[in-house]
Amino acid sequence: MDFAFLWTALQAAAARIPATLSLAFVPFAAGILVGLPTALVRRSSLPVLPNVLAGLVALIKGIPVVLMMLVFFVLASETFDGFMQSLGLPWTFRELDKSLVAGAALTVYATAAMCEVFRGALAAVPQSQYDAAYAAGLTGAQTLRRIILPQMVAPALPMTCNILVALVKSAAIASLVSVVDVMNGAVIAAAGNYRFLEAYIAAALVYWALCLLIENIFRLAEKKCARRFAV
Amino acid sequence: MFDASYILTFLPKLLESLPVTLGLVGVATAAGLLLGLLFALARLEKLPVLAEASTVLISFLRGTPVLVQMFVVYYGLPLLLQGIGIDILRWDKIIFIYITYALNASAYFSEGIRAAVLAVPARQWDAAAACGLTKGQSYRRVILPQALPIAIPSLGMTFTGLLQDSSLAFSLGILDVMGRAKTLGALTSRALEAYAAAAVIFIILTLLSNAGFHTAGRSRKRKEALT
Repeated sequence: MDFAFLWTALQAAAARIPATLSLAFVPFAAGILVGLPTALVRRSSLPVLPNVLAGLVALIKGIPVVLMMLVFFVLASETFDGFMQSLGLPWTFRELDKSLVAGAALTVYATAAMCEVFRGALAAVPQSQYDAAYAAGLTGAQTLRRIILPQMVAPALPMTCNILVALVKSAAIASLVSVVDVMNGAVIAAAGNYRFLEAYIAAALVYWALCLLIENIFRLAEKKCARRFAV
Repeated sequence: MFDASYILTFLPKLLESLPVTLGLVGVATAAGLLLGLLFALARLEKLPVLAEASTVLISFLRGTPVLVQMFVVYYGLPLLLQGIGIDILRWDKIIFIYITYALNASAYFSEGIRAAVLAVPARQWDAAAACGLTKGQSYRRVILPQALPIAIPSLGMTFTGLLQDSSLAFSLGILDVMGRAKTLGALTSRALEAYAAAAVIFIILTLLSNAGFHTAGRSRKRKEALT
Protein backbone atom coordinates (compact mmCIF):
# COMPACT_ATOMS: atom_id res chain seq x y z
CA MET A 1 0.00 0.00 0.00
CA ASP A 2 1.44 3.31 -1.15
CA PHE A 3 -0.05 5.99 1.08
CA ALA A 4 1.60 8.85 -0.77
CA PHE A 5 -0.09 7.73 -3.98
CA LEU A 6 -3.38 7.15 -2.12
CA TRP A 7 -3.29 10.85 -1.26
CA THR A 8 -2.57 11.77 -4.90
CA ALA A 9 -5.42 9.55 -6.11
CA LEU A 10 -7.70 11.02 -3.45
CA GLN A 11 -7.02 14.50 -4.81
CA ALA A 12 -7.55 13.33 -8.39
CA ALA A 13 -10.87 11.73 -7.39
CA ALA A 14 -11.99 14.74 -5.36
CA ALA A 15 -11.28 17.01 -8.34
CA ARG A 16 -14.04 15.15 -10.21
CA ILE A 17 -16.69 15.57 -7.50
CA PRO A 18 -18.49 18.24 -9.61
CA ALA A 19 -18.79 15.77 -12.50
CA THR A 20 -20.26 13.05 -10.26
CA LEU A 21 -22.58 15.46 -8.44
CA SER A 22 -23.96 16.95 -11.65
CA LEU A 23 -24.48 13.42 -12.99
CA ALA A 24 -26.56 12.73 -9.88
CA PHE A 25 -28.29 16.05 -9.22
CA VAL A 26 -29.42 17.02 -12.74
CA PRO A 27 -31.25 13.68 -13.24
CA PHE A 28 -32.53 14.00 -9.65
CA ALA A 29 -34.02 17.45 -10.34
CA ALA A 30 -35.48 16.26 -13.64
CA GLY A 31 -36.84 13.20 -11.84
CA ILE A 32 -38.68 15.42 -9.35
CA LEU A 33 -40.05 17.70 -12.10
CA VAL A 34 -41.36 14.83 -14.23
CA GLY A 35 -42.00 12.31 -11.47
CA LEU A 36 -44.47 14.48 -9.53
CA PRO A 37 -46.92 15.09 -12.42
CA THR A 38 -46.54 11.43 -13.39
CA ALA A 39 -47.49 10.35 -9.87
CA LEU A 40 -50.47 12.74 -9.91
CA VAL A 41 -51.68 11.31 -13.23
CA ARG A 42 -51.26 7.78 -11.89
CA ARG A 43 -53.52 8.66 -8.96
CA SER A 44 -56.09 10.36 -11.17
CA SER A 45 -59.20 8.67 -12.58
CA LEU A 46 -58.18 9.30 -16.21
CA PRO A 47 -58.77 6.33 -18.51
CA VAL A 48 -55.88 4.08 -19.59
CA LEU A 49 -53.07 6.61 -18.94
CA PRO A 50 -52.46 5.68 -15.27
CA ASN A 51 -52.10 2.01 -16.22
CA VAL A 52 -49.74 2.82 -19.08
CA LEU A 53 -47.56 4.92 -16.77
CA ALA A 54 -47.60 2.21 -14.09
CA GLY A 55 -46.47 -0.33 -16.67
CA LEU A 56 -43.76 2.00 -17.93
CA VAL A 57 -42.40 2.59 -14.42
CA ALA A 58 -42.35 -1.18 -13.76
CA LEU A 59 -40.47 -1.74 -17.03
CA ILE A 60 -37.87 0.94 -16.32
CA LYS A 61 -37.29 -0.36 -12.80
CA GLY A 62 -36.65 -3.80 -14.29
CA ILE A 63 -33.79 -2.61 -16.50
CA PRO A 64 -30.35 -2.34 -14.87
CA VAL A 65 -28.89 1.18 -14.99
CA VAL A 66 -25.80 0.03 -16.88
CA LEU A 67 -27.96 -1.56 -19.56
CA MET A 68 -29.98 1.64 -19.91
CA MET A 69 -26.78 3.65 -20.23
CA LEU A 70 -25.32 1.35 -22.90
CA VAL A 71 -28.57 1.45 -24.87
CA PHE A 72 -28.55 5.26 -24.78
CA PHE A 73 -24.90 5.23 -25.78
CA VAL A 74 -25.49 2.99 -28.81
CA LEU A 75 -28.61 4.94 -29.80
CA ALA A 76 -26.73 8.23 -29.60
CA SER A 77 -23.73 6.90 -31.53
CA GLU A 78 -25.97 5.60 -34.32
CA THR A 79 -28.39 8.48 -34.67
CA PHE A 80 -26.71 11.62 -33.34
CA ASP A 81 -24.56 12.44 -36.38
CA GLY A 82 -27.35 11.93 -38.91
CA PHE A 83 -29.80 13.92 -36.80
CA MET A 84 -27.40 16.84 -36.41
CA GLN A 85 -26.59 16.76 -40.13
CA SER A 86 -30.27 16.93 -41.02
CA LEU A 87 -30.56 19.97 -38.76
CA GLY A 88 -27.51 21.49 -40.42
CA LEU A 89 -25.59 21.64 -37.13
CA PRO A 90 -21.84 20.92 -37.04
CA TRP A 91 -21.90 18.79 -33.83
CA THR A 92 -20.73 15.17 -33.99
CA PHE A 93 -21.03 12.28 -31.57
CA ARG A 94 -17.26 12.11 -31.19
CA GLU A 95 -17.19 15.59 -29.72
CA LEU A 96 -20.38 15.13 -27.74
CA ASP A 97 -19.91 15.28 -23.98
CA LYS A 98 -20.64 11.65 -23.06
CA SER A 99 -21.86 12.66 -19.61
CA LEU A 100 -24.96 14.03 -21.38
CA VAL A 101 -25.72 10.53 -22.65
CA ALA A 102 -25.10 8.97 -19.23
CA GLY A 103 -27.16 11.74 -17.61
CA ALA A 104 -30.07 11.07 -19.97
CA ALA A 105 -30.10 7.39 -18.96
CA LEU A 106 -29.91 8.31 -15.27
CA THR A 107 -32.79 10.77 -15.77
CA VAL A 108 -35.08 8.01 -17.03
CA TYR A 109 -34.19 5.94 -13.98
CA ALA A 110 -34.59 8.89 -11.58
CA THR A 111 -37.98 9.79 -13.03
CA ALA A 112 -39.35 6.28 -12.51
CA ALA A 113 -37.93 6.14 -8.98
CA MET A 114 -39.22 9.59 -7.95
CA CYS A 115 -42.63 8.77 -9.42
CA GLU A 116 -42.82 5.81 -7.03
CA VAL A 117 -41.75 8.00 -4.11
CA PHE A 118 -44.40 10.62 -4.82
CA ARG A 119 -47.02 7.93 -5.30
CA GLY A 120 -46.24 6.60 -1.83
CA ALA A 121 -46.24 10.11 -0.34
CA LEU A 122 -49.58 10.91 -2.01
CA ALA A 123 -51.08 7.77 -0.53
CA ALA A 124 -49.84 8.87 2.92
CA VAL A 125 -52.09 11.99 2.86
CA PRO A 126 -55.51 10.93 4.17
CA GLN A 127 -58.65 11.44 2.06
CA SER A 128 -60.09 13.65 4.80
CA GLN A 129 -57.57 16.36 3.84
CA TYR A 130 -59.06 16.54 0.33
CA ASP A 131 -62.57 16.66 1.80
CA ALA A 132 -61.64 19.45 4.21
CA ALA A 133 -60.01 21.49 1.42
CA TYR A 134 -63.09 20.99 -0.75
CA ALA A 135 -65.34 22.05 2.14
CA ALA A 136 -63.22 25.19 2.62
CA GLY A 137 -63.92 26.07 -1.01
CA LEU A 138 -60.42 25.54 -2.42
CA THR A 139 -60.01 24.69 -6.08
CA GLY A 140 -58.20 21.53 -7.14
CA ALA A 141 -54.93 23.39 -7.83
CA GLN A 142 -55.13 25.28 -4.52
CA THR A 143 -55.77 22.03 -2.63
CA LEU A 144 -52.72 20.48 -4.22
CA ARG A 145 -50.43 23.44 -3.61
CA ARG A 146 -51.51 24.49 -0.13
CA ILE A 147 -52.79 21.29 1.49
CA ILE A 148 -51.49 18.15 -0.20
CA LEU A 149 -47.95 18.98 -1.36
CA PRO A 150 -46.77 20.37 2.01
CA GLN A 151 -47.98 17.21 3.72
CA MET A 152 -46.17 15.01 1.19
CA VAL A 153 -42.73 16.37 2.07
CA ALA A 154 -42.26 14.51 5.36
CA PRO A 155 -43.28 11.03 4.13
CA ALA A 156 -41.27 11.49 0.91
CA LEU A 157 -37.97 12.50 2.54
CA PRO A 158 -36.52 9.09 3.60
CA MET A 159 -37.05 7.43 0.22
CA THR A 160 -35.90 10.57 -1.62
CA CYS A 161 -32.64 10.37 0.32
CA ASN A 162 -32.23 6.70 -0.67
CA ILE A 163 -32.75 7.57 -4.32
CA LEU A 164 -30.32 10.48 -4.30
CA VAL A 165 -27.66 8.26 -2.70
CA ALA A 166 -28.44 5.54 -5.25
CA LEU A 167 -28.02 8.12 -8.03
CA VAL A 168 -24.62 9.26 -6.74
CA LYS A 169 -23.53 5.62 -6.67
CA SER A 170 -25.08 4.86 -10.08
CA ALA A 171 -23.21 7.84 -11.52
CA ALA A 172 -20.07 5.69 -11.12
CA ILE A 173 -21.44 3.47 -13.87
CA ALA A 174 -20.92 6.39 -16.26
CA SER A 175 -17.20 5.69 -15.93
CA LEU A 176 -17.86 2.56 -18.02
CA VAL A 177 -18.94 4.78 -20.94
CA SER A 178 -15.77 6.89 -20.73
CA VAL A 179 -17.15 9.74 -18.61
CA VAL A 180 -14.45 11.15 -16.34
CA ASP A 181 -16.14 11.17 -12.91
CA VAL A 182 -14.79 10.47 -9.41
CA MET A 183 -14.09 6.82 -10.28
CA ASN A 184 -12.39 7.45 -13.61
CA GLY A 185 -10.52 10.44 -12.19
CA ALA A 186 -8.88 8.14 -9.63
CA VAL A 187 -8.23 5.35 -12.14
CA ILE A 188 -6.63 7.71 -14.65
CA ALA A 189 -4.25 8.88 -11.93
CA ALA A 190 -3.13 5.26 -11.55
CA ALA A 191 -2.62 4.67 -15.29
CA GLY A 192 1.10 5.47 -15.04
CA ASN A 193 2.03 3.28 -12.07
CA TYR A 194 -0.67 0.55 -12.04
CA ARG A 195 -1.51 1.26 -8.39
CA PHE A 196 -5.17 0.53 -9.03
CA LEU A 197 -5.98 -0.64 -5.50
CA GLU A 198 -5.06 2.77 -4.09
CA ALA A 199 -7.04 4.44 -6.87
CA TYR A 200 -10.20 2.45 -6.18
CA ILE A 201 -9.87 2.93 -2.43
CA ALA A 202 -9.53 6.68 -3.03
CA ALA A 203 -12.65 6.68 -5.20
CA ALA A 204 -14.52 4.65 -2.56
CA LEU A 205 -13.57 7.13 0.17
CA VAL A 206 -14.83 10.07 -1.90
CA TYR A 207 -18.15 8.32 -2.63
CA TRP A 208 -18.50 7.37 1.03
CA ALA A 209 -17.99 10.98 2.12
CA LEU A 210 -20.51 12.25 -0.44
CA CYS A 211 -23.16 9.71 0.60
CA LEU A 212 -22.67 10.37 4.32
CA LEU A 213 -23.00 14.10 3.66
CA ILE A 214 -26.26 13.64 1.74
CA GLU A 215 -27.64 11.30 4.42
CA ASN A 216 -26.85 13.78 7.18
CA ILE A 217 -28.43 16.69 5.31
CA PHE A 218 -31.59 14.65 4.85
CA ARG A 219 -31.54 13.58 8.50
CA LEU A 220 -31.48 17.26 9.50
CA ALA A 221 -34.32 18.02 7.08
CA GLU A 222 -36.36 15.13 8.48
CA LYS A 223 -35.86 16.43 12.02
CA LYS A 224 -36.91 19.92 10.98
CA CYS A 225 -39.98 18.53 9.24
CA ALA A 226 -40.95 16.42 12.24
CA ARG A 227 -40.68 19.44 14.55
CA ARG A 228 -42.72 21.62 12.22
CA PHE A 229 -45.56 19.14 11.88
CA ALA A 230 -45.55 17.98 15.50
CA VAL A 231 -48.73 19.26 17.11
CA MET B 1 -31.76 -0.27 -38.32
CA PHE B 2 -33.39 -1.86 -35.30
CA ASP B 3 -34.51 -5.35 -36.26
CA ALA B 4 -36.69 -6.90 -33.56
CA SER B 5 -36.33 -10.40 -35.04
CA TYR B 6 -32.74 -10.44 -33.74
CA ILE B 7 -34.08 -10.26 -30.19
CA LEU B 8 -35.64 -13.69 -30.67
CA THR B 9 -32.40 -15.18 -32.02
CA PHE B 10 -30.39 -13.61 -29.19
CA LEU B 11 -32.72 -14.66 -26.35
CA PRO B 12 -31.81 -18.40 -26.33
CA LYS B 13 -28.10 -17.50 -26.41
CA LEU B 14 -28.47 -15.11 -23.49
CA LEU B 15 -30.52 -17.68 -21.58
CA GLU B 16 -27.50 -20.00 -21.74
CA SER B 17 -25.80 -17.46 -19.45
CA LEU B 18 -28.76 -17.17 -17.11
CA PRO B 19 -27.26 -19.77 -14.70
CA VAL B 20 -24.26 -17.46 -14.22
CA THR B 21 -26.49 -14.52 -13.29
CA LEU B 22 -28.75 -16.65 -11.07
CA GLY B 23 -25.75 -18.37 -9.47
CA LEU B 24 -24.23 -14.99 -8.66
CA VAL B 25 -27.48 -13.71 -7.16
CA GLY B 26 -28.09 -17.00 -5.33
CA VAL B 27 -24.65 -17.22 -3.73
CA ALA B 28 -24.71 -13.53 -2.79
CA THR B 29 -28.18 -13.86 -1.26
CA ALA B 30 -27.34 -16.96 0.81
CA ALA B 31 -23.98 -15.66 2.03
CA GLY B 32 -25.32 -12.12 2.36
CA LEU B 33 -28.23 -13.23 4.55
CA LEU B 34 -25.91 -15.19 6.85
CA LEU B 35 -23.40 -12.31 7.12
CA GLY B 36 -26.21 -9.79 7.44
CA LEU B 37 -27.72 -11.75 10.33
CA LEU B 38 -24.33 -11.81 12.09
CA PHE B 39 -23.82 -8.06 11.56
CA ALA B 40 -27.35 -7.35 12.79
CA LEU B 41 -26.86 -9.52 15.90
CA ALA B 42 -23.53 -7.84 16.65
CA ARG B 43 -25.24 -4.45 16.60
CA LEU B 44 -28.42 -5.55 18.40
CA GLU B 45 -26.44 -7.23 21.18
CA LYS B 46 -23.99 -4.30 21.29
CA LEU B 47 -21.03 -6.71 21.25
CA PRO B 48 -17.89 -4.70 22.04
CA VAL B 49 -15.72 -3.86 19.00
CA LEU B 50 -17.81 -6.13 16.72
CA ALA B 51 -20.82 -3.79 16.91
CA GLU B 52 -18.75 -0.73 15.99
CA ALA B 53 -16.90 -2.63 13.26
CA SER B 54 -20.23 -3.78 11.79
CA THR B 55 -21.61 -0.24 11.85
CA VAL B 56 -18.61 1.16 9.97
CA LEU B 57 -18.53 -1.71 7.47
CA ILE B 58 -22.26 -1.41 6.75
CA SER B 59 -21.95 2.34 6.29
CA PHE B 60 -19.05 1.86 3.87
CA LEU B 61 -20.83 -0.85 1.88
CA ARG B 62 -24.00 1.24 1.62
CA GLY B 63 -22.15 4.46 0.84
CA THR B 64 -19.95 3.31 -2.05
CA PRO B 65 -20.85 2.03 -5.54
CA VAL B 66 -20.79 -1.75 -5.93
CA LEU B 67 -18.66 -1.18 -9.05
CA VAL B 68 -15.92 0.38 -6.92
CA GLN B 69 -16.30 -2.33 -4.25
CA MET B 70 -15.79 -4.98 -6.92
CA PHE B 71 -12.41 -3.57 -7.91
CA VAL B 72 -11.35 -2.95 -4.31
CA VAL B 73 -12.04 -6.63 -3.54
CA TYR B 74 -10.40 -7.78 -6.77
CA TYR B 75 -7.17 -5.85 -6.22
CA GLY B 76 -7.20 -5.71 -2.43
CA LEU B 77 -8.12 -9.21 -1.25
CA PRO B 78 -5.11 -10.99 -2.82
CA LEU B 79 -2.82 -8.40 -1.23
CA LEU B 80 -4.53 -8.74 2.15
CA LEU B 81 -4.35 -12.55 2.12
CA GLN B 82 -0.78 -12.53 0.82
CA GLY B 83 0.10 -10.82 4.07
CA ILE B 84 -0.95 -13.94 5.97
CA GLY B 85 0.60 -16.32 3.45
CA ILE B 86 -2.41 -17.32 1.35
CA ASP B 87 -2.02 -17.06 -2.41
CA ILE B 88 -5.30 -16.42 -4.21
CA LEU B 89 -4.03 -14.68 -7.34
CA ARG B 90 -4.98 -17.75 -9.37
CA TRP B 91 -8.56 -17.79 -8.13
CA ASP B 92 -11.35 -17.65 -10.65
CA LYS B 93 -12.63 -14.10 -11.08
CA ILE B 94 -16.16 -15.17 -10.24
CA ILE B 95 -15.09 -15.82 -6.62
CA PHE B 96 -14.18 -12.16 -6.19
CA ILE B 97 -17.57 -11.28 -7.65
CA TYR B 98 -19.31 -13.64 -5.19
CA ILE B 99 -17.44 -12.05 -2.28
CA THR B 100 -18.22 -8.49 -3.45
CA TYR B 101 -21.92 -9.05 -3.94
CA ALA B 102 -22.27 -11.11 -0.75
CA LEU B 103 -20.67 -8.30 1.26
CA ASN B 104 -22.70 -5.62 -0.53
CA ALA B 105 -25.99 -7.45 0.00
CA SER B 106 -25.12 -8.30 3.62
CA ALA B 107 -25.13 -4.59 4.50
CA TYR B 108 -28.67 -4.09 3.21
CA PHE B 109 -29.89 -7.43 4.59
CA SER B 110 -28.41 -6.56 7.98
CA GLU B 111 -30.28 -3.24 8.12
CA GLY B 112 -33.52 -4.98 7.14
CA ILE B 113 -33.09 -7.70 9.77
CA ARG B 114 -32.10 -5.22 12.49
CA ALA B 115 -35.09 -2.98 11.84
CA ALA B 116 -37.43 -5.99 11.84
CA VAL B 117 -36.06 -7.36 15.14
CA LEU B 118 -36.42 -3.89 16.73
CA ALA B 119 -40.02 -3.80 15.46
CA VAL B 120 -40.94 -6.91 17.49
CA PRO B 121 -42.56 -5.63 20.72
CA ALA B 122 -40.28 -5.69 23.80
CA ARG B 123 -42.85 -7.68 25.77
CA GLN B 124 -42.09 -10.67 23.53
CA TRP B 125 -38.59 -10.67 25.03
CA ASP B 126 -40.07 -10.47 28.54
CA ALA B 127 -42.49 -13.30 27.83
CA ALA B 128 -39.69 -15.48 26.44
CA ALA B 129 -37.54 -14.75 29.49
CA ALA B 130 -40.47 -15.51 31.79
CA CYS B 131 -40.79 -18.93 30.13
CA GLY B 132 -37.16 -19.57 31.02
CA LEU B 133 -35.79 -19.35 27.49
CA THR B 134 -32.16 -18.40 27.05
CA LYS B 135 -31.18 -15.51 24.79
CA GLY B 136 -30.38 -17.84 21.90
CA GLN B 137 -33.64 -19.73 22.33
CA SER B 138 -35.60 -16.48 22.48
CA TYR B 139 -34.05 -15.32 19.21
CA ARG B 140 -34.61 -18.65 17.48
CA ARG B 141 -38.09 -19.52 18.68
CA VAL B 142 -39.76 -16.21 19.52
CA ILE B 143 -38.14 -13.12 18.03
CA LEU B 144 -36.77 -14.13 14.62
CA PRO B 145 -39.96 -15.98 13.52
CA GLN B 146 -41.90 -12.77 14.23
CA ALA B 147 -39.26 -10.54 12.66
CA LEU B 148 -39.19 -12.48 9.39
CA PRO B 149 -42.59 -11.36 8.02
CA ILE B 150 -41.76 -7.76 8.96
CA ALA B 151 -38.43 -8.04 7.12
CA ILE B 152 -39.78 -9.62 3.92
CA PRO B 153 -40.49 -6.39 1.95
CA SER B 154 -37.05 -4.97 2.75
CA LEU B 155 -35.33 -8.29 1.97
CA GLY B 156 -37.23 -8.35 -1.32
CA MET B 157 -36.00 -4.87 -2.23
CA THR B 158 -32.42 -5.88 -1.50
CA PHE B 159 -32.82 -9.03 -3.59
CA THR B 160 -34.19 -7.08 -6.57
CA GLY B 161 -31.40 -4.53 -6.21
CA LEU B 162 -28.86 -7.36 -6.16
CA LEU B 163 -30.35 -8.78 -9.35
CA GLN B 164 -30.00 -5.40 -11.06
CA ASP B 165 -26.49 -4.80 -9.73
CA SER B 166 -25.34 -8.25 -10.87
CA SER B 167 -25.31 -6.75 -14.37
CA LEU B 168 -22.09 -4.92 -13.45
CA ALA B 169 -20.05 -8.12 -13.10
CA PHE B 170 -19.27 -7.98 -16.82
CA SER B 171 -16.83 -5.14 -16.16
CA LEU B 172 -14.55 -7.73 -14.55
CA GLY B 173 -15.04 -10.02 -17.57
CA ILE B 174 -17.78 -12.29 -16.22
CA LEU B 175 -20.00 -13.72 -18.97
CA ASP B 176 -23.37 -13.40 -17.25
CA VAL B 177 -26.49 -12.35 -19.18
CA MET B 178 -25.18 -8.80 -19.44
CA GLY B 179 -21.63 -9.81 -20.40
CA ARG B 180 -22.98 -12.21 -23.00
CA ALA B 181 -25.21 -9.47 -24.44
CA LYS B 182 -22.22 -7.17 -24.75
CA THR B 183 -20.06 -9.76 -26.58
CA LEU B 184 -22.98 -10.83 -28.80
CA GLY B 185 -23.64 -7.22 -29.69
CA ALA B 186 -19.99 -6.63 -30.57
CA LEU B 187 -19.74 -9.87 -32.60
CA THR B 188 -22.85 -9.27 -34.69
CA SER B 189 -22.76 -5.44 -34.59
CA ARG B 190 -26.38 -5.68 -33.45
CA ALA B 191 -25.73 -4.18 -30.04
CA LEU B 192 -29.14 -2.57 -29.65
CA GLU B 193 -30.98 -5.84 -30.26
CA ALA B 194 -28.65 -7.73 -27.91
CA TYR B 195 -29.24 -5.15 -25.14
CA ALA B 196 -32.99 -5.29 -25.76
CA ALA B 197 -32.91 -9.07 -25.35
CA ALA B 198 -30.95 -8.69 -22.08
CA ALA B 199 -33.46 -6.07 -20.93
CA VAL B 200 -36.31 -8.52 -21.56
CA ILE B 201 -34.61 -11.11 -19.33
CA PHE B 202 -33.88 -8.62 -16.54
CA ILE B 203 -37.41 -7.19 -16.64
CA ILE B 204 -38.95 -10.67 -16.37
CA LEU B 205 -36.59 -11.65 -13.53
CA THR B 206 -37.39 -8.41 -11.67
CA LEU B 207 -41.15 -8.83 -12.07
CA LEU B 208 -40.90 -12.47 -10.91
CA SER B 209 -38.85 -11.48 -7.87
CA ASN B 210 -41.25 -8.65 -6.97
CA ALA B 211 -44.27 -10.94 -7.35
CA GLY B 212 -42.58 -13.68 -5.31
CA PHE B 213 -41.79 -11.43 -2.36
CA HIS B 214 -45.23 -9.83 -2.59
CA THR B 215 -46.98 -13.20 -2.23
CA ALA B 216 -44.51 -14.30 0.45
CA GLY B 217 -45.34 -11.17 2.44
CA ARG B 218 -49.07 -11.68 1.99
CA SER B 219 -49.17 -15.37 2.88
CA ARG B 220 -47.08 -14.65 5.98
CA LYS B 221 -49.52 -11.97 7.05
CA ARG B 222 -52.50 -14.26 6.45
CA LYS B 223 -50.87 -17.02 8.48
CA GLU B 224 -50.34 -14.55 11.29
CA ALA B 225 -53.95 -13.39 11.17
CA LEU B 226 -55.17 -17.00 11.54
CA THR B 227 -53.11 -17.84 14.58
